[in-house]
Amino acid sequence: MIYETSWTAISVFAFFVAVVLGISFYLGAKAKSASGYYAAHGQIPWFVNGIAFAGDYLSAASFLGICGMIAFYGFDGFLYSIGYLAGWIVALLVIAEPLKRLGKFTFADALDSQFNSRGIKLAAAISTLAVSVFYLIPQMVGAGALIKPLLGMRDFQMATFPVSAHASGVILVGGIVILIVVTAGMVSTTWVQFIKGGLLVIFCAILTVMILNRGISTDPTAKSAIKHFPLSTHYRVALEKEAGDRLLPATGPWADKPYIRIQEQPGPEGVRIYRELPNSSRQLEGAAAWAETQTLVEVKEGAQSHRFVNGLPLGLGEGQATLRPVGHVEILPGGEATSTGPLGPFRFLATLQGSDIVTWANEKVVEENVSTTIYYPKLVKGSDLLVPGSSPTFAGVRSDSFWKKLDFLSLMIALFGGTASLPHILIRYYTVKDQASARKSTVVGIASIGFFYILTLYLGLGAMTSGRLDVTDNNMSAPLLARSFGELPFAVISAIAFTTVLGTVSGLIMAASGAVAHDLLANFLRIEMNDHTKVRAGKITAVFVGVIAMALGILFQGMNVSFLVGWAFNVAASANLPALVMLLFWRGTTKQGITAAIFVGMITSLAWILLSADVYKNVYGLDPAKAIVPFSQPGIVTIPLGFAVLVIVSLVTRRKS
Amino acid sequence: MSSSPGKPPAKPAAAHDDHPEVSAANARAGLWLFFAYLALYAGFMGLAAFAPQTMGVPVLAGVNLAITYGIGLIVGALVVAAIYMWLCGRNARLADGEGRA
Repeated sequence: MIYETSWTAISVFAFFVAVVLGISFYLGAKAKSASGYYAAHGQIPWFVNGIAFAGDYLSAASFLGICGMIAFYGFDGFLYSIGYLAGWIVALLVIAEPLKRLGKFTFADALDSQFNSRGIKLAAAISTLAVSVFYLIPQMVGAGALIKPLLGMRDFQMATFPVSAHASGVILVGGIVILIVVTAGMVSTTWVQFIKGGLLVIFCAILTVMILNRGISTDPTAKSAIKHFPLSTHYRVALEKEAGDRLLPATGPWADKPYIRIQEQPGPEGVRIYRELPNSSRQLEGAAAWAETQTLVEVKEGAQSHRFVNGLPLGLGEGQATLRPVGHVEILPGGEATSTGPLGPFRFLATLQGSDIVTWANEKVVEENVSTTIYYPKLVKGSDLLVPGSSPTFAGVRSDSFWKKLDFLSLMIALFGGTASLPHILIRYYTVKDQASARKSTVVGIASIGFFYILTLYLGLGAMTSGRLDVTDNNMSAPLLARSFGELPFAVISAIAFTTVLGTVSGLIMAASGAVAHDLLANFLRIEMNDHTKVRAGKITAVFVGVIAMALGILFQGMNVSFLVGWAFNVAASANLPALVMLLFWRGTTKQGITAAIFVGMITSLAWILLSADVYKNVYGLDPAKAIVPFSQPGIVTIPLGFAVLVIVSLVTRRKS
Repeated sequence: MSSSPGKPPAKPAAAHDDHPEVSAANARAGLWLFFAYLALYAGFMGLAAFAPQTMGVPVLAGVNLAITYGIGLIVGALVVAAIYMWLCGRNARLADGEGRA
């Protein structure tokens, strides 16, 4: 889809960014020392720190990715909400207090507190860098997705170099974040997190009330200027009769596919395509219904390519078209009513469970010089969407395949153990004064994050039935849902989502720069640094990490951001969790054990991901069936592996000494 | 917010949590609660992976088991966190009482 530029959105957005930058500059001027830059002097009040936890944690992935996944696939997106929150229990009950007792600035300090080992410092610093960069990718992808409709960005040419709208979004976010981190450090990062965390939860609560108040209707865009793509069903006989000799034969790549193609206008773009609609309650006497689809046709002529949507050239002008928004309830429970009116929170869920909902999927068919992407509707029972296994990611839980079930369990284990191993969350324990404050701020964090995650269910399902979804990008679902209530809610939600990205990214870059300046340069390489140079080293690192994250954010465009974050959790849990837990609970742990566990966990989980079917398909463009590893989430293998390596290496090295 | 550049962070006046007995008691309480929550979480994962059809059964006000259990896990985390806070506070008060006696 392409979007109109919204000046309301731009103004609100500019205001938010200005406020955030203002705070950064103001507080940044105060934080000169290393303890100020990296740990905010340990003087952040616990309540502020608790909400800042929410600000750090509720990243673009939580907000955009989970809402998008629920909006497109139903319950499966909520699995991420559950796993992300459950992980906090590990952080609070097992890790938080001992870690606070042991450390100073970074997670490496804590791991190394009893050993003074350069190996541990190196391992912990590298794993912090790896996890931070991996976690930065989805934030950047989210930023790119978000900025397109917000600022109405288009693809353009810079000299002979094509710059996509996605890339310009990523570069803009990266630039602002680097500015924040370089000018400020942990004090302002914390206050930015606090503001953003608070705003995000409050505005999402308001949006949820608006969704419940609006209720569910079978024509959600009735009163709006933007019309969604309604379900239009036909019978094969009628379609074929109407088409006559304009009916195209199912040959070549179209053979054995469930499509009827009618040549409406000349040229490959002038083909109207219908797809069989299985399981439709709109069937008559056993005859399957056929539904009209949307098409995006790309025609290559020499070096040039032209794109057409639903038969017209892609664009917003006269005689042009862009893909129309989708997603609505086709039949409400009982089948008679067209609108429910205001609903309570339970009634809303129960009503959707009893409804028939139109969701969209797509398929790409490639012929010589012409590629056709068909966006087609599916009529799905609400009761089927609101149980696990409704998305391609987790469809495995409904199959009999053991590997696919393992993939699901593996992700849920990684989410559970990952939170407590995330470096940017761990450093937040050093910004409060004592363990009691660390505890209190975690509980505040759990309360606000948990409340938000319950809201994601309503936001996602509200978006699913809002008639506003972008068939090409599920990450945009939450802002588009806000747009169905008007330009102002859209502007506010987009601006908050954008500050969400800013906040999380600056937290991550802080963690990475702490790892390099404090752990690698000062402690591992033993470079003599005073307070001033230590801060400067951190700032230079921040610029480097920021640039790497921007490049990766452009490369991973189009993958669901929550899915990407799932991987970051896998790497974090595999590399850091065994070391943290065993250090705290097993006296036999040795420094060699910790170092080996971090390296093995990190390298095996990264390698596993890079060899998985999802990366083959989305990043390398290879056949996913050729992927080497049997499922894509490594946690269930690499976390236990980390523990095993730690125990074995510790036993061996202890005997020697 | 009171930031004082250059100075090390001040130690709190009464740090019960640094008392080894208090932190050991807190850690014990934390582990018990952790295993209780882990059992709940594992139950959810097991149902989702091996009995997905039971997740569709309506249990609360017409809402199915998957959503009810999921929201339950989120609310449960907060309840567990609140219990833990209360236990830690009690451990500190007990130590305080013994210290004075």
